[in-house]
Amino acid sequence: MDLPINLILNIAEIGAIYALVVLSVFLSSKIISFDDLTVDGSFTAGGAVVVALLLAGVNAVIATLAAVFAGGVAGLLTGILNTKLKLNNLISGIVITTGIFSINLKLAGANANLGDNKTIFDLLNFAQLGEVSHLIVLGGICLGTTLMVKWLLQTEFGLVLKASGSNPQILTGLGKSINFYKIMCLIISNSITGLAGALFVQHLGFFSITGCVGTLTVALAGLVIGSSISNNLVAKIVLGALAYQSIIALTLELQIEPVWNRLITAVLIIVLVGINNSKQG
Amino acid sequence: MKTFNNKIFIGFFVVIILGALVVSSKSNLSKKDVLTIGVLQTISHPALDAARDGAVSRLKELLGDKVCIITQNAEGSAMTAQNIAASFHNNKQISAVITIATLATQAMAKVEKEKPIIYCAVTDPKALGLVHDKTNACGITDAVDINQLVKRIKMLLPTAKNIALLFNPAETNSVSFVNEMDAILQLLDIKSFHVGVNNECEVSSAATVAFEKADAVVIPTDNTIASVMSVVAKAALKNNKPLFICDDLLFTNGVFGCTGSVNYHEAGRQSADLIMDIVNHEKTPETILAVGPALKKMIVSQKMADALNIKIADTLKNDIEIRK
Repeated sequence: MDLPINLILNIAEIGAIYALVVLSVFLSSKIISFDDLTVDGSFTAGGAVVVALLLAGVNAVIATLAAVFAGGVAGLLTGILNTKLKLNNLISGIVITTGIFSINLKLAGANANLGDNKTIFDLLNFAQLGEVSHLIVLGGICLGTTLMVKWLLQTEFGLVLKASGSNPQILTGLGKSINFYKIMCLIISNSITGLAGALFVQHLGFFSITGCVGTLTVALAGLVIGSSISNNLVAKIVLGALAYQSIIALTLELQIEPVWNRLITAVLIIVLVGINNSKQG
Repeated sequence: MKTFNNKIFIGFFVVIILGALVVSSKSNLSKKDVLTIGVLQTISHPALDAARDGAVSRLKELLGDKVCIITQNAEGSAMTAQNIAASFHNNKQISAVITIATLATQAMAKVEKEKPIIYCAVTDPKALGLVHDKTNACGITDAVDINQLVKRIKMLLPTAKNIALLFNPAETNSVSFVNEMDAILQLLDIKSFHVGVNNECEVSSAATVAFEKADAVVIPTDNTIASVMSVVAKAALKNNKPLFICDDLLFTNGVFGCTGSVNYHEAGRQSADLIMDIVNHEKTPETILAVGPALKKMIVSQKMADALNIKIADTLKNDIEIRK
């Protein structure tokens, strides 16, 4: 039996990138109960910033960090709209994503090719490992970020953060600002999304302004699947993202007429999550 | 503390293993006489669908039963395009891939460096880094001859001073067209301004603005505007101003001129012919590179010319095709 190594490698690579977005969505939906629609905007912004800087000759590591910063700014703006201007959760996210679209379009154009510019994968050189070099970098960044978040959630800051979502009255009792923690969480989660966007563009080698629409859906699906598999944070996000990518790959291999692909994906997700929920129910 | 829900974990594993078996069994099916071609389309859209249909019908014409065509559609998502590209790259049966429009071509070219890639409906393959002597990609561009277009506009409308360019700035093909056209118009001392729309809903009001302020409106090979061309044509009729478009199939009542060389169905057929040449080892991608659309004359509507009081000079009549 001929193992589809290329396919598995691709699932792992894209899975690692989207695992970061799943982590981000986990932070916003589960920790502070904020359905954050900024994700599409900050994911694209991460890509746009990285492309604009790489094509201007900036070092890839600095460009990637700038993308993280851009994501953070997006999260900050959403947080301010929600807490200070009292805009509803969903509207804040939508407004920022809409506004960021223009900024991204101006920065990177509708479509940009990275060409020969050195990406972060070229700089962190594991070329001797050949085909798995991208995966090593992506996997490392993904695991590293997840473990950092896990550590953060166990610090005093993290505990207050979790409380701001599940039990906000405690914060008022402690004299801490719920708004502050909400904004901090949005900044952190969107920075991570910005990082994912930057890695995505460098991995693919090109940027497309409309190519990242639907990132939130992918991340949420991954989170739902991951949550039904495990309670451990690392396992949840990694397995969830990998599961979703595997489902997409499987749908493609079935080679049924392309119009049905989305429906098949939806059915597979329902089956996977539905079995678990019915057993628990 | 149980960190893994055992039953769902096992169920998940079973699904994945089943999937792997499906995948590998398909790859092992030996189809000796059958040529397998992959077709990767960027998004569902009438022009791109026409290109796909052209390619598929031509391949079936040439090979009949001896071709297996696997079509996939990225539906505009870069992630899906990448997954499909990986799937085609992994599939040993596939001998060559046709990619339709820019996103599909970029995703495929990044992943596949050996099998021939024939692209179709891509405006600027050079910008994608595909035009060099070691390339495995070649194909048909839909680049309009903008020099010729501007020349004809100048001849038909010698007094025009202000031209509006109506397009979606999120479409890379339109952006490169508009930039080139701006440069050429500037040399001829004609002012141009941009009217941008991000989706179909905005086109109606944008078209009104464009026609009110300009002497003529030009629309590039833009997917967003193409889907609501009738709206723009109506605005042209209402404001009694000339409208120039670039896609022959969209020529409707209200359109004054059309460059006449871009036909997506034809482009699809041409790419199928190219694939056959390459698969039969008669040609190689690096010798073909990018082929422009067959140059044809500009098409002008006599009806609109009369309505707009534009006299088509006799000297022009050899260079353009007049449609009643």
